Amino acid sequence: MLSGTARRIGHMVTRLMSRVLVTIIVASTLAAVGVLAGQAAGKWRIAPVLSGSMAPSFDQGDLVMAEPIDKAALRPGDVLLFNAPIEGSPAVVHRISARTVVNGEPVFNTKGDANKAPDVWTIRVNGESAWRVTHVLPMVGRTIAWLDNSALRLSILVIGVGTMLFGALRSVWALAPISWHAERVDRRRKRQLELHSTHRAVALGVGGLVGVAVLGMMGLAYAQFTSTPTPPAPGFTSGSLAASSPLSCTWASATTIALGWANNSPTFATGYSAQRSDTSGSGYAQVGTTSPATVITYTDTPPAPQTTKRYYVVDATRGTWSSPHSNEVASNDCIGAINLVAGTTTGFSGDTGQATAAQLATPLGVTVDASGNVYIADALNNRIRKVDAATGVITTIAGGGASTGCAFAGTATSATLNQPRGVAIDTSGNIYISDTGNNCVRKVTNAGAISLYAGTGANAACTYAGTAVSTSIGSPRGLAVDASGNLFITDATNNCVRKVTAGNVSQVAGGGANTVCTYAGAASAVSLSQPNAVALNAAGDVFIADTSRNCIRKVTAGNVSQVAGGGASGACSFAGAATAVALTAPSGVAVDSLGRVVIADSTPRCLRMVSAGNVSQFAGTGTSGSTGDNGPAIAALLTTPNAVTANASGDVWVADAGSHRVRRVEGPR
Amino acid sequence: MFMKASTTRRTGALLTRKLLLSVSMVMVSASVVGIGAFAVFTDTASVSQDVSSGSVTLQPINVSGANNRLSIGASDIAAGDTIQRAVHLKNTGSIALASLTLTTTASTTSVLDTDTTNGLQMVLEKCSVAWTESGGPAYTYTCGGSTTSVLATAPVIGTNLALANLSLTGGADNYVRVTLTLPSSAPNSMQAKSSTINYAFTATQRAAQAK
Repeated sequence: MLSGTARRIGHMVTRLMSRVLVTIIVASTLAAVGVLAGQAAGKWRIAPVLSGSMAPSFDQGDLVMAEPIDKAALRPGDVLLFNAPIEGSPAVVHRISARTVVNGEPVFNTKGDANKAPDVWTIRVNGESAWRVTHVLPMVGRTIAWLDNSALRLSILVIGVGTMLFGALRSVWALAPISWHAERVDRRRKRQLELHSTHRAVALGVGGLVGVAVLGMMGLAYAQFTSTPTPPAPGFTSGSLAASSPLSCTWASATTIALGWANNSPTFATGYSAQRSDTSGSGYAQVGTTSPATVITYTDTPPAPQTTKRYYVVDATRGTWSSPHSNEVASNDCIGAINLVAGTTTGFSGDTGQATAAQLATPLGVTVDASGNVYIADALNNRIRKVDAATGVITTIAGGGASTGCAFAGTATSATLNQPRGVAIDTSGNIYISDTGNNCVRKVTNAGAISLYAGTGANAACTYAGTAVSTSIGSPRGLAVDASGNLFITDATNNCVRKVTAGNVSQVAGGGANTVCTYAGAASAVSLSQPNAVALNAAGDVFIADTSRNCIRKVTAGNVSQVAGGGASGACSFAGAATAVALTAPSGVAVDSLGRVVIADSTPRCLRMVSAGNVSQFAGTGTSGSTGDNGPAIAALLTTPNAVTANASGDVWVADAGSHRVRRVEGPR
Repeated sequence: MFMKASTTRRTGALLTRKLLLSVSMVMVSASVVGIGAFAVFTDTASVSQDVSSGSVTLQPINVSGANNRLSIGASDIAAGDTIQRAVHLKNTGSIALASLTLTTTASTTSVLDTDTTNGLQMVLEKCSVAWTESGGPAYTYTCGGSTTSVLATAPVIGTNLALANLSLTGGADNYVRVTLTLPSSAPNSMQAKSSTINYAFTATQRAAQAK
């Protein structure tokens, strides 16, 4: 009894499981048929994802469903299900990475999210619509993917058909045992159970076949595997040609200009292009080239006249490439060019106007301060005039007033000067004036107050040492101030050079008996004759223009020596030993920052330069005149160069008394 | 007796019918299996399912060496200059390749890569043997074998540039020389420009096959 009940319960459970299984199979079959029908009708496409190329959007094993979309609506970011346009044309699920329009048709590039590189193909949509993935069922595709195996599918086919066959055969042969053997079991119940088994077998077989069919009908989507080795990205940098600044120029001769520049692209430039224009800032035309890059000079012969301003730039070059222009240089700014600073014809005019339009009258002295302001001893106008470096405006800073006498103390422009021939300025800005006609030296402070500084006393001897105002200075001319404020004075009447220190005067040179230029010995033993100028170098050596002896002497530590003059060759163009040149009334001397000595050789009408013991022409041809401004100084004309001064840059100013002008010879900058 | 004979006759007929039905079912089933098996083994629509066990791998090209100089840049490039770099492309994977393409992008961009006419131009050539390198880092290469064109002159930036004449089978060596040229027509404005070029050689697996 107990076993019968258990058997009934077992039969019930078996029947229930059978019905559930059959229901699942039937439902799956219907769903598969529905999906296939939808796919066949073009409503959607489904596909399993068989690779990880779209991770993390889609993982291997996901099942995607794609729906048709108008191709015009496709945009980058959409995921397409498509057949790759390569041999074999497998279905691919990849994302649109780019959309372009070619001949009015959208064209797409695709890429797997996990792939480094875009796909190799370009997608053109045939027809009006494409399949855009709209849904994804995670993992569902894994089963289909698992089924996507030839052997496995064959096995399922065989098992499915075999199971179906077995069930059918059991159904056919079900009655045999009942007819041949009178079994005790209930025949009707057994047949029902056998039918259920048969149904189950048939359903399993049909399910297997349907699975295989579904697999065969669906396109299997997979992402193609790609390998994209990428080396570290190399950088590529084009070279550059730097401007060849600074460009400088020198009047190498009366007709040629030597250009020199910096090699600022030593590893890239292969040469240079020298260019010239008659207009500043534009219109440059190449006048020459140089190569290789280490050749950084070029000499040009500009068209005559040399007094016409020419403008030069240099470009570094390499092939067709060139650098920006270097700085521009103008021919009148080249080393050795001469330019007008002040003066036109003799007279007095022009204060508060441009100095180049003002009139001077026999300027006999000139100096320059650290700012480049120029001070002129405008002798026959009895004034000291100043040319502002920044504006070029000329003004009177001393003289021209009614207050006579060296003892006058007051406003400098209220004082009366008498043919001042020398002017100097100290580092504090105090101006010293040789009031030549009044036989005294006067001082003008920064505030414009004038006072007596030396002279007017009774002690005329060169050897006198005492208060400066107690000495007698006759016709003081050249002045120089050292860095300590010591003032050096040429006493043309007493033929000596004096020094004033803290209000006291002392002998520097002169007063002796040795007249020849070649004399070397105690400075106090030399005989000077109308020394007109004095200058100092950085070492404190004192240079004296011994004007009437026609030589330049130097005093070092109390001893005097010959610098230039005393020779036989007097032409301005002479170049050779400085002791071999014949100076004639050298009235001016200056020392530049390089230690070169500039001599105003007044009678020959030229400036000479002594460097390392050799003399050469510096300015003036020897012909009287005032032309040549903006051109080479060695081609310019001077009339009576009387005084010279130099600044730290090497510029030299000359007071040309005979042409009533002050001019500047450009030095290196 | 009649009943027995009749029963015997029905039983025989039934047995005959069962046998005939069984034979028919077996034949139909065999036919289905046979047809299905044929269908499976001739299915060329699918590719090897076991994709993940195969591999598509190009030999890394960021290894410095005479055959791999692609990661080395250049400076002070002037109009008319050429830059040669070798790269060794080798499919070390187990799957033959359908194609090898080159995609170049600029992570640092300038007119050197954006000017497709006067900017950097690229040419790829293959040597049948390893290139012989000389110089450095201004490398130049000569081919001791025969050269073939891999990529004709093209702007340095390109997407999916098809590379021709490369061996795509597994293990095949491709000794490639990449030559970049800044055309002589490059204008002055191309001075002092910098571009960083990313090279991506993409190996794509071969076309689908039945497995």
